This record gives sequence, structure tokens and C-alpha cells, in this order.
Amino acid sequence: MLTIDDIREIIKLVDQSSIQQFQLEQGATKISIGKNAVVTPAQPILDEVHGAKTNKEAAVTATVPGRLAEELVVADKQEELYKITAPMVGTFYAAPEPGAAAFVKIGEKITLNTVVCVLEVMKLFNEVEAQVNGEIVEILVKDGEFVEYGQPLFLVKIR
Amino acid sequence: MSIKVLRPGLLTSIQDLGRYGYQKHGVIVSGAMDSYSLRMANLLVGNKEDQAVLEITLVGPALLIEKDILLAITGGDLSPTVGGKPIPMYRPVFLKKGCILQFGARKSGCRSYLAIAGGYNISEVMRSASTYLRAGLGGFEGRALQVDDVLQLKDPQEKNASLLRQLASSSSASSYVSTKWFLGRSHIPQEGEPVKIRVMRGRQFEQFSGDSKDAFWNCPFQVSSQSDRMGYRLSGTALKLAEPLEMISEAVSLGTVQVPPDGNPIILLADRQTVGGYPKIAQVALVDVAVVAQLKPGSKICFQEISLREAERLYLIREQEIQTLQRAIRLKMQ
Repeated sequence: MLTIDDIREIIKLVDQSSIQQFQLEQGATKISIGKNAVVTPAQPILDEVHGAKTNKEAAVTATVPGRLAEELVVADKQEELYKITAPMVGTFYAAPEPGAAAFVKIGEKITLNTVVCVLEVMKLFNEVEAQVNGEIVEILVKDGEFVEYGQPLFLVKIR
Repeated sequence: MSIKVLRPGLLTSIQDLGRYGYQKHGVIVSGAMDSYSLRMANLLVGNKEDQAVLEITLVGPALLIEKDILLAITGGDLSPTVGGKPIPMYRPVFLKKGCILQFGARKSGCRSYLAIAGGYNISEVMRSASTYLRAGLGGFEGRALQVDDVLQLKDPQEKNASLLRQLASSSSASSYVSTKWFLGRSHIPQEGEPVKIRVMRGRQFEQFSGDSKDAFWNCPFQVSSQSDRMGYRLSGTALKLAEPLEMISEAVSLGTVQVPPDGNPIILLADRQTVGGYPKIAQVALVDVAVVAQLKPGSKICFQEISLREAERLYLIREQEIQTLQRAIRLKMQ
């Protein structure tokens, strides 16, 4: 079992080396350290290995409409939508426990301290507060989805 | 400083993880019915996981808090409130001196566990603070709490004192302050539907008649009103032996399901006797004992067979989760 000190030491060593990507698996513990880049899931690498050009193209075209759509939403409404982002990595849950009502729904008015979701890390559930006054326009992640630090979770029309 | 009991509730007693090492002298283990909830409550306030807490059954007490405290309530939801406002469960909560913590309607489960940072100042009897109610031994004067009892508290250790100070400093006009993180209450059974309890075959399983063996796996049983901390009596299809069996009393353990001659099984729990002479049809997997402990009279259960290996695997997974939690909470308290 790795201790926090071990992990600190590993990060220090990786930081001082020329290694860009570092992964370690020990029992149920997995560590992935990357420098100057967002950690990319294994999928794109696999695609390259298979050398399927069509795959790559498909991936590119698949991402473009998504991005366009997002820009269009912003442009259409002619107003700025605020993004509530994840303050930590964790598993996104829209409700405090299974079967319970969601913290917020689309169209719901929220204030600075409204809890909009919880993120589960190491079996602890962490509340995420809106930090903004407004109205929920869109929920960007699905219940049970793992989110990265800084990933947008909600779009909010600021009041 | 202390906590004063204004109203004791149905059965509120001091319990820890139990009194081990004395069963050979006939002294039962006692301890929390739902030891998982007890451990969670202690971890949430930065205590050692085996410290004594208050076990609160079905109808909770009213307690006058006579100092600033950090507490956590886990287990079944018995509607804890302060000044008429509900306070959250499964997270550390800071309460100011002078407020009254009251429990109300039961919403889920059967037992709540109330841990306080630092713990209750209870002297141990035979290495445990648990109350052995029938013998009047251990805990607070060997009995359940009564009106006007005063429970002395220990001072919190440095690591939980810092969370207390942190919450105290953010203390506003509201009656309590809590953290923005909490635990899930995964093991509390849902109301209404029969609850699935995982068991292994007991030593005398094969001695039961074919019909009884089938009935045991296929029929729901109901927790009867004659259930207590010693054991849960179940009613349902009467379970019969294939032929009469003379048994010498032998050791029983937490979660043993024994069947007396009337055919209604009994699940042995925290205050179980040390030996028993009834045939044992099954043994509840340890991870599901906490689920049984949260069932109230009238709840229905169904037994599901698992292997010893599977029961051990479930146990290890849960212990690993508890270790993870312990680390996560320690990080939060830094």
C-alpha cells in the first residue's frame, strides 16, 4: 500500500526526470502522472497503433460538431453562460443518495450556496456549491460519470 | 463538561465494539448492534474507530449539550434536530454549548449512533465500555440512559480539535455548522421490500427436512416483536428437522441462525448467549449483520446462500473501503 509520502516522493522523482508519462499499478491502487498535458485515455493511442486512418478521421469529425454546438448555444442566446466546474476529480452524482431527488433540475434557480451535485472521492461525498446566482440551463455530465478537475458540470444563465 | 439527558428515548446505551476475551467465563460480547455505523461515526469525528458511542434505538433521546462539541450521527435516520432544525447525518457537525439535540420520527433503519469528538468518559469493565444490560455491567452504570443522567465527555485530541475550531470559527447565527463532505449510507435497508440477507449454511443445515430447507431459501421471514439486542426472532414457515436431534451445547457466534423446536429461527446478535444447543441452520455473513441490526420488528427478510469464500471476500472489500475512508477523512482534517 502506497502512503501519501511515497506518492509525494514519486511525484518529485518524475518531476525531476525527463519522463512525460508515468503509470504505476500496485494491487487495487493505480497512479498516473503526466506532465504539461491532460492525461489522455488509452483509446486514441490504440487507434494510432491500429493505424486505421478512418478511425482517426472519425474521431476528429465526431468532436467537431460537439464543439460547434457548444459555441452555437452561446452565440444563439447572445448571453454568457457560466460554467460550474469540478473543484476536484471524482464521481459525479446528481442526488445525495440513490433514489433521492436530484439537487437541481434544468430551469431551477440557484444561488451562491446552492448545492448542485456531489463528487465522490475515496468513498467521501463532497458537495459542490454553485458559486453563482442564476438558472441551470444544462447538465453536462451523467450521473455516475467520473469527472476531471476543472471539467464543466453545469451551464448556468447568470442573473 | 458534559451532556445531560432530558429524555432518555426507548433504549439508549453506551456501546463500543464489544467485550472480547471473556466468553469462556460466560460474559457475553455486547457492543454495538451495527458495528459498521459505530465505526463510521467515530471516524467522522476523528476518534479511534472502536471508541464508545451512544446507541439509540427507534425512539431517540433529547440531550442538553453543555459544551461546544463536534459530533457525528450514523445508522438509521431517527430525525435528529437542534432547535427544531434537522441536522445532517453521516458528517461532522459542530454544536454550540447550550443547545438541545432531539430525535424525532424514525425515517429509516432502527438504530442511530452518536459519536462525539474525544469520546464519552466511561470507565471500562473487562476492557470494554459496552453496556451489558441484563447483567447491569459496563457502560453508564450498567444500564440504559435515564432522565437526568449526566454523561461526562473527554476533550478531543488535537487532530479533531482542529476541525472543531475550523467549524466553530465559521459558526454563524444558525444552530449548527457542518462540513461540505459526507459519507454515503449504503447499508441501511430500504423500507417496504423484503431485505436480502446473505448467509452460509450452518453446521446442522443438512439435518433439516427437505421442505424446510427449501422454505428457508425461498420464503420471506418477518422480524417479530420479540426481537432485541440478544437476537431477532423471525416468523414465517416453521422449520423442522428431518428427525429428532440430540445436541450438546456448542459455541454460537455473531449472526448464527439457530432454530428452536417451535421452528421459528433466531438470528443471534450483539447480546447473544455464549453457547447454544439448538440446531444452526445458517450463519449470516458478517457484512450483513449490520443490515440485520437496522431492521425493525415487522421488516421482512429473505435469505440468500453464499459461500464462506464469498463472505470473506465481501468482508475484505468492506474493510478496504473503511481503510480508504479513514485516509480520506484524515486528509480532510489536515
